[in-house]
Amino acid sequence: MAPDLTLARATALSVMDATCTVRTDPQGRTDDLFDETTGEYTRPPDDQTTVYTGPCLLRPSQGLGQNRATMGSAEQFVDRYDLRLPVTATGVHPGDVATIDTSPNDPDMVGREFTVLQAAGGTYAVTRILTVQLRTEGPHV
Amino acid sequence: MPATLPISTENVTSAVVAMLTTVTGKPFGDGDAPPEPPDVYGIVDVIPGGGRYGDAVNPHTDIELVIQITAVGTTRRQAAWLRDRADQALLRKTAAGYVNAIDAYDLNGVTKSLATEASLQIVDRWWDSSGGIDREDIVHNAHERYVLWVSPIS
Repeated sequence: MAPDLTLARATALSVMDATCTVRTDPQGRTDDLFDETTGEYTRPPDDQTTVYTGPCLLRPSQGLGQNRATMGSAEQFVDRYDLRLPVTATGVHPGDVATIDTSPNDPDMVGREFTVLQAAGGTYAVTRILTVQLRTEGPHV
Repeated sequence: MPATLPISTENVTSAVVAMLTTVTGKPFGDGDAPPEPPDVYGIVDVIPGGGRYGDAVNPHTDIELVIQITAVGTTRRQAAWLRDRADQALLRKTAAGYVNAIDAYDLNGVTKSLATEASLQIVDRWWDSSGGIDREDIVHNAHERYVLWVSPIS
């Protein structure tokens, strides 16, 4: 007999006090417009599609500040988090970008953008678990 | 006449950074990424090579300074875009001389803040070699190398 996950899922949902939006841009830079005068890219209209908006729960999944990446002589902290969504959230894929819209318990998270690395689920999943990555500018030495 | 001190290469690279930032409209850093780097930026590095020239009294009056300009962008195209603009900014020339002046100051007894006019001149500049474009994590880097012939203004 399959377990009834209704209560577990409702309990998980009840602690998702933040809200977030996940957007996808399958074409990436390839369909963005390159301005030869400024050297900058401009996104075309409707470049991104919203695949999820609603409650979420964010928490660090590794020691923050321990992973660094150097590129173009600039150093960044690359931190991973778990972002949990209701299991009814579907269509989220690696490369999508999750933005924290509201976060009453940690206002500093609002506006931060996380790149989805992995979206996990399963037959008896209680939540959709996204492994996401946050890049912030590292020390300038 | 006492021997002059070697030319400070730091002042030359600072001047190149200032010129490239002004002419290209993108920030350049001196040996490092500029603070809070945007999507497109550049780096000027002094790399091994070059030489010093002069006479018996002043054996290092002039220097040949080898620099590498790294253009950084989020895509190969963006890096190539800044590479080409930096190249033009550095080498574009008319019959009257180089279009974009590089005003450098030396430290022969004068602090930079006291210098009121350029005391060094970039006598000549030329392209040396290309390091191509490589990818590093989420950015692309385009590398070009140049030689600057620097001499005091007499």
